[in-house]
Amino acid sequence: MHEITVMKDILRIILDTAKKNMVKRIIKVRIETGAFTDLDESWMNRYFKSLTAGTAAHGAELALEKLKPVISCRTCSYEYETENIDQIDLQCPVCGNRCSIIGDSSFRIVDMEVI
Amino acid sequence: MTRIIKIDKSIHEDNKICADRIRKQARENTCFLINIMGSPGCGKTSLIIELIKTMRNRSVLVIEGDVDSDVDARKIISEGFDSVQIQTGGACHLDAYMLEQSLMPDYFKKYDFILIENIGNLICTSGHDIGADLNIVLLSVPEGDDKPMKYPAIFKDSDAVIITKHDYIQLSDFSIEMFRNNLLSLKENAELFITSSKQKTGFEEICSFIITTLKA
Repeated sequence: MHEITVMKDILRIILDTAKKNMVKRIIKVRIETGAFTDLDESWMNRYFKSLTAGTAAHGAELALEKLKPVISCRTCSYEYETENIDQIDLQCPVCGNRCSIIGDSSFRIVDMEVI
Repeated sequence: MTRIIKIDKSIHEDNKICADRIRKQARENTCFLINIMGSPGCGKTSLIIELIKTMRNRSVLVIEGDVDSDVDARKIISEGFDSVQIQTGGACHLDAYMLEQSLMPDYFKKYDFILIENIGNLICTSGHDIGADLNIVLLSVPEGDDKPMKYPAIFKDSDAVIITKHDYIQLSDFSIEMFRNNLLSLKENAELFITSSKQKTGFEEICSFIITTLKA
């Protein structure tokens, strides 16, 4: 539901950047999201497509990279990435002590490819 | 020939600037803002009423955020406290801009605390800085003890977690121990409180936590 406000923010930032850099057309926008960002990728793409119509970003590709949560042992510092925190065992596979889950809900525009 | 332009900017950056402005103005007037989040029906309004009663001699304003209606603001006013309503008209969370628009110039001078009841939602309200000094999330017993794993962002980003409707515990299979373990796996130093607005229990502890943490 809140994907549209996020996509409007992205569009504003990339069009500002394009204007300042005398860009003709934006080809690709790279975005990195934290492990706990609750945004649906298909809706982000749909909103991006409709919001960019008629702008320098029309037809641009949205390259989304979602960082994976990291399971980190508090005792022996062993770390590994995981896909789904619902399924994980919080017992450290190395020393057997309790692990923590590391990740955030950040949302960062990395760069954009332009002409 | 294509070229790459580095941006490296968080999309929440402009909202963060507005939130910092609110925080700074409030602090200059020794007024503290507290953001109260949680699902629809988890007991946010009832908790706020009991919390203000426990705060006794402090002057408190409640800013109510809802998609529509002024039901909550009227409920707070009917208890004899001050309240204003923000209607988001569909938006699923408050942001710093919405809050800034609702703040009158004298609020920070007039009140010691401004409690902000965010939109009932465990997803969208997290990650949006509204300028609060404390972010608190509520989870009621009927919602279940597995919620920190299902909605990790809000539990991880909050300064305190409050279990509400503890009076339902006998009717439910909610395990406080399981909830605490789930929460601690996300946030090692999580502050957890247990309340029942109906039985009026647990509010002194929250009050002391707020006053100690904010040095208010």
